Amino acid sequence: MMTAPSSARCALLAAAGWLCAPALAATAMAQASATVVVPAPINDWLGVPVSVQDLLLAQSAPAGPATGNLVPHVPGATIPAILRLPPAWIASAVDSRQGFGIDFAAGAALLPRGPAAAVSVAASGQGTGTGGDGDAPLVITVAFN
Amino acid sequence: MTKSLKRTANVRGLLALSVLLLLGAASMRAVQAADNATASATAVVLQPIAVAKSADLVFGNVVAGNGDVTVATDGARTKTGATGLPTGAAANAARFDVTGSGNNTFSIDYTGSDTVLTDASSNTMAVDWITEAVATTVPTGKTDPSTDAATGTLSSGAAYIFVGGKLTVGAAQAAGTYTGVVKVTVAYN
Repeated sequence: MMTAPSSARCALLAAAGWLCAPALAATAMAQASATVVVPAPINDWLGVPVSVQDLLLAQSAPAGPATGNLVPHVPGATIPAILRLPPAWIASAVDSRQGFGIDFAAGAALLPRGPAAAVSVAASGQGTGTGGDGDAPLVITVAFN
Repeated sequence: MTKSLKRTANVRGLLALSVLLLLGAASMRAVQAADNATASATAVVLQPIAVAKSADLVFGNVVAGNGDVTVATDGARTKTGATGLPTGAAANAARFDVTGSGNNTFSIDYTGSDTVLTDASSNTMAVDWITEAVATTVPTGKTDPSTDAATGTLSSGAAYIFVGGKLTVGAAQAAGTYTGVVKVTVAYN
């Protein structure tokens, strides 16, 4: 910020033999910033249901005992194997899990690609097995925050 | 002898008249030599004008893709084209606070402002500033970058300049943090 010299400052300058004219104009600067996020492959999934398996593979994470985009329903509170040891970036997105099917509450995780690209896991698909049993497609909707 | 006396008397009369005329003229000249009139002299002392930044312009996170991202003067963010607008970082318009005297008007100049935002690897994105000068802290939400606010008016010694921008994002825009500078100079009109 540049402002007009104060009268006290002018007095000091005058005593030192300097001329002190009042400022006729003043200037200030502000910074403008933008962070570009490279979407990487996950951009193709914006708003599109994808499986945990796809996410894991896309992130080059160990698939473990993954079963593709079908996650077997296990009666009781057993958590599908694919979610037992999820990588930290997706585990932090999981707020709650239910025994039947998978119920992900909305959450967020940081992808390792791009500068702090926040990704939310919006919802999972619902199990469709007969009688509350059977295989259910596990789908996760991914969107950038 | 009588004629001579009369001629002498006439000459004396003429001389006396001449003297009187001369005295009269001199007297009149003396009166006109002095005259006067008055004019008033006024000066208005203005408080020096000053401007200070109170907020930076933040476009926030932008997904690479061919399109534009606009931050209005009220901070509202919109986009066109294939670029995306993640919501992780809030957008914000820049604000400059101008102070001065009374309700005077002032000029605004943006010389020295960047025309591109640049990242650490010298990648760039073109930016077109959106400017607005108002008397209150509430901007109108201007989104048109085609005309800049060239003048402003102080209201009881205060005015505000808001700066948004229209950012051009490339289809293969490199990831990174891009920065630039917007420079505002104000001067009394």
